[in-house]
Amino acid sequence: MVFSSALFVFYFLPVFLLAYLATPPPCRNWTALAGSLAFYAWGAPLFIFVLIASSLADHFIARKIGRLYDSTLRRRWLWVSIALNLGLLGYFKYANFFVENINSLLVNFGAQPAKWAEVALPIGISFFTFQKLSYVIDVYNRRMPALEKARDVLLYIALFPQLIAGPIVRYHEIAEQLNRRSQNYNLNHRINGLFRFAVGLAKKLFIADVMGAAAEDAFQMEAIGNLSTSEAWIIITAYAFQIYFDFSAYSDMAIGLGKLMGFDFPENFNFPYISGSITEFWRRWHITLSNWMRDYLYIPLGGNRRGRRRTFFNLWIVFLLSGLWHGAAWAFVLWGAWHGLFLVMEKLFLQRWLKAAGRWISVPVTFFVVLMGWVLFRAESLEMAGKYYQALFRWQEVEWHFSSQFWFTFTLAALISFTPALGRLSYQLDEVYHSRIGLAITGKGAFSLVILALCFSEVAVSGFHPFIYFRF
Amino acid sequence: MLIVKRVVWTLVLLLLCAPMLLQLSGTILGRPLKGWQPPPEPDTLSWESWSEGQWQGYAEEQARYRLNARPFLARLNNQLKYSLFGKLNAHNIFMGKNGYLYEGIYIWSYLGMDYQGEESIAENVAMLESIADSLKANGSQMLFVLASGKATFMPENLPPRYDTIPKRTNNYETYRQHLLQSSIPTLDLNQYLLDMKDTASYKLYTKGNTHWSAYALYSVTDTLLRTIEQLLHKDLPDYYYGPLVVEDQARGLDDGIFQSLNLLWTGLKDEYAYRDILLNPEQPPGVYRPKVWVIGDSFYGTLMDARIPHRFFSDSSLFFYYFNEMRTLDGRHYPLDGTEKQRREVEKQDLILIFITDGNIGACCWGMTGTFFNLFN
Repeated sequence: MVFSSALFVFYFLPVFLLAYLATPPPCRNWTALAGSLAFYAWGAPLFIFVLIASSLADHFIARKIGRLYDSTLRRRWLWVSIALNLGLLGYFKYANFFVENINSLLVNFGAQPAKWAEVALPIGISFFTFQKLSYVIDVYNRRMPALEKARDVLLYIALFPQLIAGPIVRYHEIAEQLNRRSQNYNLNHRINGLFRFAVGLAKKLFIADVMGAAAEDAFQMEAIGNLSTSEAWIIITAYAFQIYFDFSAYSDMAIGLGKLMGFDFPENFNFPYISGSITEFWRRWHITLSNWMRDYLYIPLGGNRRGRRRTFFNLWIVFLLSGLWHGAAWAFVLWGAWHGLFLVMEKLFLQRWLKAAGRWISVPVTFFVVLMGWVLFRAESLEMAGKYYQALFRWQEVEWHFSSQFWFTFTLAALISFTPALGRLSYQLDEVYHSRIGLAITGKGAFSLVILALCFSEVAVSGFHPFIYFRF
Repeated sequence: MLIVKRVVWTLVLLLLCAPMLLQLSGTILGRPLKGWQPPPEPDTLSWESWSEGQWQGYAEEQARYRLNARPFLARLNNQLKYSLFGKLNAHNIFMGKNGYLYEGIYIWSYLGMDYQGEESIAENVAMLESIADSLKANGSQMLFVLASGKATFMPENLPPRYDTIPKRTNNYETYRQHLLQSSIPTLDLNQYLLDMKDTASYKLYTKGNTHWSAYALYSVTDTLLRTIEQLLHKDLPDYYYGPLVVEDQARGLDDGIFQSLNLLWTGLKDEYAYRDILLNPEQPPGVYRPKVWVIGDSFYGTLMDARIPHRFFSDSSLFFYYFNEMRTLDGRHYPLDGTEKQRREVEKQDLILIFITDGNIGACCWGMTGTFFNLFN
């Protein structure tokens, strides 16, 4: 069930919301958990057992770690949890990839390929695995105590707004809210939540999907060969807007739904396309993944404390794994390596150059690097990516055929992506709202009414709208 | 200010719950949508269908399709996209110049994009000729009617995107050439309307329909009836025209494609000329109504809608719609039941009428040629 489906918008959300609001505050975690499990079981009925069983195992391990004082034993239990979680992720997400590569090697050497029944990917496994690891590691680091109740552990892992496509909420960011969020049970929080949800739904339906339709048509082996150079550039830019508005829309909806339930989830995006370097890009794009990688991988590897060479090595490891986290394919590994390469170059010299050149140069240069990376991300194979790069640089005729709706949406997406003032407007509204001037909240409410009505009309008329990040 | 916030919150919550409340109350919002195919019903719920996610997929589609607020919401969406971007949310419908709507198949067929090739068409016409000869030997007749097509009739209004696509030989032209060279009696209503195009008092094709106008329908009916009389050497019932009425709003489905856009605002203003063909109340005793089997498409359907066959053909006449469904004059529809494969039944008919528009002629005649050819050979 995706957030932009008729089933979610017209049935699940109102029923859940009414049930949640009708439940007395002390029991609301039960309602939230029941809703979350129902949400996951609808889309992944078999894997709900994997989710519950592995979460309960983590609950047991975290409580054990929390009670132990012997550091060796604590570390052993931590490694048990890491092995369990990465083992599940490795099996479900990477086993097919691993076997395919081994088989192609075997075939190359004239041997028979190994027989293998393809493993189905549990939806959202990349996200909830990282949250489970965050829970156990935060308890191990004594950053937060382990939760007393298995119900609350399950709720942290399975909370439906962020269960399948983030934001990745680190345990220490939300631990206190799991049982104490009564200060957020107010009208302002809820109206803000619905506003955020409406904005996210609109971004997904009216921008991401329109951009996505153009990219979908173009990213076909035969179609790429017919693209003019100008079309190829417009399409890859449209794809950049699609992935940004698609993913940030999901995060907006997740944050909004969280607010409706009294939670404050961390922000996941901050105008990434105005970045003046790849380093800055990763501070603005998928912020919660960057934070997770920094806290649980980069810093434990030594971060930048063990000399330049080791820092570069650590960066490469983080970005190769980050690429692989996005998908079990060499294109994603290359995408990660591409970003890792620029991060290392920026540490060496590029960042100084970009800074000296000023933002009018550094922002377009960074956007260009990001666009080149998106080709790898979008292409279904390295062969397709190679063909698309050819289309971008063969300098053929200037010719394009796009609808007026495409151009309108493309311009709107560009304006929003490159104009942070629009984002600041929202913050300014929040300031007004915090000053207890009712105009802002009324404005947000009225805006939500209009936007939701328009979104309803789109949901009712159009077909399936999967979010790109669902497959990770 | 708290009251304002409460009102806002209540309104938003009401909006969020409104579609579900409409569903619970059984109230349907808006006029029914046209041209939507219902999605397949979900399988019976079983552990297997649930665990594979199949049942959920169907159930989600059904939830969307059966939403009581959907007619209004879909029309709102379509209207916004139509008004803002000129976008048509209908399958293979295109906006041509001067506000004329076209169905894709007529454009592609006119441009020769679905051309079947001369050899294939010649072979098909030869088989039809053999059938026509066999029928004639048994006292029946065949009449091949080339119905019109909007793109062929007014290529000047095709959507601009087709301006640069060169027109090639098309199915209609090759069929026409081979049919006229054969012994099959042929009536080319396409050419008939083209000949009238500059002199007709009223529009022969309106902006919002894929079929000919009601005004053109009465003209082609007259020609068709006279051709049948000549072919069968019999007098059909006498008729006369009712008074001519000109309106700016379409009756029934005379703006059919426009209605299939499912917009909020209905009614496409245009010139719609209506008159009726009425039977003379004093008919000679034992007036002749031929037994006719018609193998045709929706262009013959426009004659059925105007109840032309009901007045001039025998009550037992049948309309084989796309040679896939049998339609009787009293409005019943049946799947093909093998009647069409019985030579005796075919020979009972006075006339086998093939009525096919240029957009469909590439598929002529949906399996009928082979079926009838086998009956007589």
